[in-house]
Amino acid sequence: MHKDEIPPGTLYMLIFRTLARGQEMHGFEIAKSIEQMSKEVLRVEEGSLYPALQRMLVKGWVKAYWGVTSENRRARYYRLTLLGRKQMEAEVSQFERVMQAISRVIEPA
Amino acid sequence: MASIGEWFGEQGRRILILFRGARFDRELDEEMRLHRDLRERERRGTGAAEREAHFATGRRFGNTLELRERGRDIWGWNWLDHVARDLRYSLRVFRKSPGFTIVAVLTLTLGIGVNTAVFSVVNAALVKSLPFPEADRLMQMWETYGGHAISEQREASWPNYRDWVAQQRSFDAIAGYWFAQFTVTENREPAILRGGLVTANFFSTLGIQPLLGRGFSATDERPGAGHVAILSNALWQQKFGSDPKVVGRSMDLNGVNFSIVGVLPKEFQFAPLGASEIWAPLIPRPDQAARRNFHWLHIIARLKRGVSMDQSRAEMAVIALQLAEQYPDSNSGTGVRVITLRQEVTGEIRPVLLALFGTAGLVLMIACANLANLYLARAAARQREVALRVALGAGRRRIILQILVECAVLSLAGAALGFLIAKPAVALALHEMPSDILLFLPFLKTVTLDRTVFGFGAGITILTSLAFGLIPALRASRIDVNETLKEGARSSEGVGRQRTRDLLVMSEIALALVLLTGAGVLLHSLSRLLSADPGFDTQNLITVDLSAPRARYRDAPSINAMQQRLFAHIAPMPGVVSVGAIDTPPLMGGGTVSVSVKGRPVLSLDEAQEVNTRAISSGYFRTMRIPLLSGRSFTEQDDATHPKVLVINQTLARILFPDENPNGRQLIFSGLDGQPTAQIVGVVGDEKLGPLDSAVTPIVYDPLLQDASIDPTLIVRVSNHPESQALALRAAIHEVDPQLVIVDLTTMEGVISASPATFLRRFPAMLIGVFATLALLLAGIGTYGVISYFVVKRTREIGVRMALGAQPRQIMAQIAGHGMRIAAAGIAAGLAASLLLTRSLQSLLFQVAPFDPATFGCAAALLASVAFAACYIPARRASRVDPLASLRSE
Repeated sequence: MHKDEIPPGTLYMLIFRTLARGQEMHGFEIAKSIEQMSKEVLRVEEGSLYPALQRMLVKGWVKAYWGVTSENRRARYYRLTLLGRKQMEAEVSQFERVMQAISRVIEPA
Repeated sequence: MASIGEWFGEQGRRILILFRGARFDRELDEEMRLHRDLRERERRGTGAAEREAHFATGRRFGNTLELRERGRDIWGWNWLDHVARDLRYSLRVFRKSPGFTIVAVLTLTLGIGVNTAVFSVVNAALVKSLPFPEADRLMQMWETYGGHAISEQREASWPNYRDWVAQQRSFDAIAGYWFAQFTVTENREPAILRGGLVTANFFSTLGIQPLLGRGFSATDERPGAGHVAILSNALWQQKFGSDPKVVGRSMDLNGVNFSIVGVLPKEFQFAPLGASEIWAPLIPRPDQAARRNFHWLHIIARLKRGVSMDQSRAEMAVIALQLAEQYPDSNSGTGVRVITLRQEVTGEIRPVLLALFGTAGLVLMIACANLANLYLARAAARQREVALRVALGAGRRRIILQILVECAVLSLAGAALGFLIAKPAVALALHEMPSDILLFLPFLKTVTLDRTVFGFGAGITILTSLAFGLIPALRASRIDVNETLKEGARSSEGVGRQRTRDLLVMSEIALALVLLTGAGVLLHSLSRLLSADPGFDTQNLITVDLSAPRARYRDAPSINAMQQRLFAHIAPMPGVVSVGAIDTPPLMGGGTVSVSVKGRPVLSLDEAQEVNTRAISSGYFRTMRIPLLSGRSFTEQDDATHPKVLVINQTLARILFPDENPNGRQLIFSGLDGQPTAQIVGVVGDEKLGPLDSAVTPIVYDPLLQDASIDPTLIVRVSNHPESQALALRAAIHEVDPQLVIVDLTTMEGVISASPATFLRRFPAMLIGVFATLALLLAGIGTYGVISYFVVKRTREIGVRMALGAQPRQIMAQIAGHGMRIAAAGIAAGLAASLLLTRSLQSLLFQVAPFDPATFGCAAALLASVAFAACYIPARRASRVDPLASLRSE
């Protein structure tokens, strides 16, 4: 089964969008959610997911707390902060601008 | 754009995580383990074999450890771990190269310590020496007079002072002061208290309020007012145990009852009267108050706000001219000099301090050059080590960080040691100051280490060490790993770095030479001064400054009888050759009057000959070994019942009687009341009455028996070991009268060595000499390092040349030649720069020109021989290279 790597820089946005639905998720749920939403096209490298989450914690975009999964295992749950929501809007609108620009260039005239 | 608030929030979170290091790792591990477990289960669900699933998950996850590292990196604290590791690594490196470490730390210590110490003293003396509000408006005033050779400025007379006070508009206040000595008797032991007599407005002019009680007021100065005194803080503590109710108590001074009205604050110091322990109102004696030509009063003044010094000088000049017109007899040619009190206080010591400051700066520069050199040499030596670490995967940033940590450790160690030695260094330097001089530099007693300059010195050396540690590090981290590791000893260092090192050593040598010549000319001038003939035999002489109780010796006959008893008692003592007395201690100068020759046209006061006068006993010339050139010396018959007689010195004889025999002629003391006359009976050789570096002055001697002095100085010539006679002499004096106060008992050589003229040359000569020695050492080490390195780098080349038949002698010549060329260039530059320093020392030089060929030659030769020794050792090593071994070693 072939899965595409996530283009660099867009991982934050995907995490934002995933968390923006208002649910608190732990790391694996975030990864699964991204994969499912992308219809299994995008694959989240765990090696980049956790550093990205750490960086978002540093920036104050997400908050984390320890909770328990349905299977009774300890897990760290992440939640979007107000600051994170603002950041998300900025990043999404910037991404859309860039995407439109790119598609204008690559679409055949 | 992150706002400030967000930035702080972020740093806050970073710091929080810092305190949770271990937990942070654990939590991240747990989080990732969960992730992996869930992923594995997912795979098992899709049918992959369990083992396969595990490895696949592991692969996908990558290196767990590295992930954890990256996690920490994101929080920004990874560097702390690295620093700790680098610290350990640095300490290991230092242990492995103790030579480098010790030299580097010592260099830093010296550079920082010496500068901190010297600047702290300079700062205390030149900046903090006037602890008064708006001290820059405080002035010192002198009378000036033209046309005489002895001195240009003199103390003011009381009537002139009163007229200045009444007529001037430039100053808020003008106050007078004078020195005093009080005898106090305590437990039957008489002792001397040094004191100041001051006009009532003295303390308010300085802007000082007493700590307890009150200052002096105008009523204290009125005739018939009770005697009052103000205590210095130190005396209050010593004699009165800091009694808070001391005001109102009384004490006996010179047998008179004084009531204490105030105590001065602890910080109070007035350098011109630095030794004063007690203060009393200045009430001039009738003759002092009346005579306009009696110069004794010292004057300070506070300039009005908004009035410039030049304006005040102009005004005082006008007032002086008016007074000269009004009182031509006493004031013609008299002017007023206004200088800042700061200049008065620190003027003499200022060039010494500035010279020290400058030379300490040179030491710092040498230290920096040496440090730079050490680092460069080391970086070259460590090139392989760095290459190895790069090959093993160390990033450029890591290498640079590691070297920075090394530099920082060295610098901090040096700075800490430097700070530690600064205080003892100050104490040591002050210890070298004669106590009489320290008394008048009270601000030096409270020297505190100056943090600014410590920071400056530490900063400069640390920057140097970082800069020179880092440049090679930057270069090293860019090196071609393969080449360096492969080529090993034949490292690819460019010509550029060798040139930098040569230049550094050259400047070290040049700076060291500057210090050497500086110390040299000062030492030369000191030896000139000490060997300058003062006109008397300085060896085996003891001088005793005496003070007799006024209550007991009220008139000239009783004073003279006491002195005759002293002579009679001391002369037969074992080891005593002869004994004499003089009214003023040796080398003090001062005590001038105007004389003219009877029978010649009467001269106005400023045209009359100004001479020093000294009252002496009949044994004085014999004891001092001053030769009698013509006529006779004084005898015991020259007393009050016989005609007044004088002896003059050769210089005065030459001035007044170039073509005549002075003996038998009469001199008129035109400045004194009643214009007394006396007959010249003899001419003696010249002696110096003033400082050793002053010129010989014209002198008139008269007999103590005709001009009694209650505070004479006894001069005792002993056959040998004057120090060992001190106790016996003290006992003998107290046998004559236990009430006699021995103010000072010392050898003439002690007087000379403690005199400002000597001290002002010896002190900087000693300190600059110490600096120069350090500089010489550093320059030697620097040269040695550069040449050794030069040899190591050329080992292969030398091997090839020797294999091709070069003689060891040729190899040595080549190596030593390289070193000596550097030394020669450094010496040439240093000689030129030395002139700048020695010129600035000019005011301290005595009979030595700033460009003193002998000193410059010696210094250059000394430095050249040190440089040669430093070149010789590695050159010799080079000449013993085994060609086979050197070629094979690679």
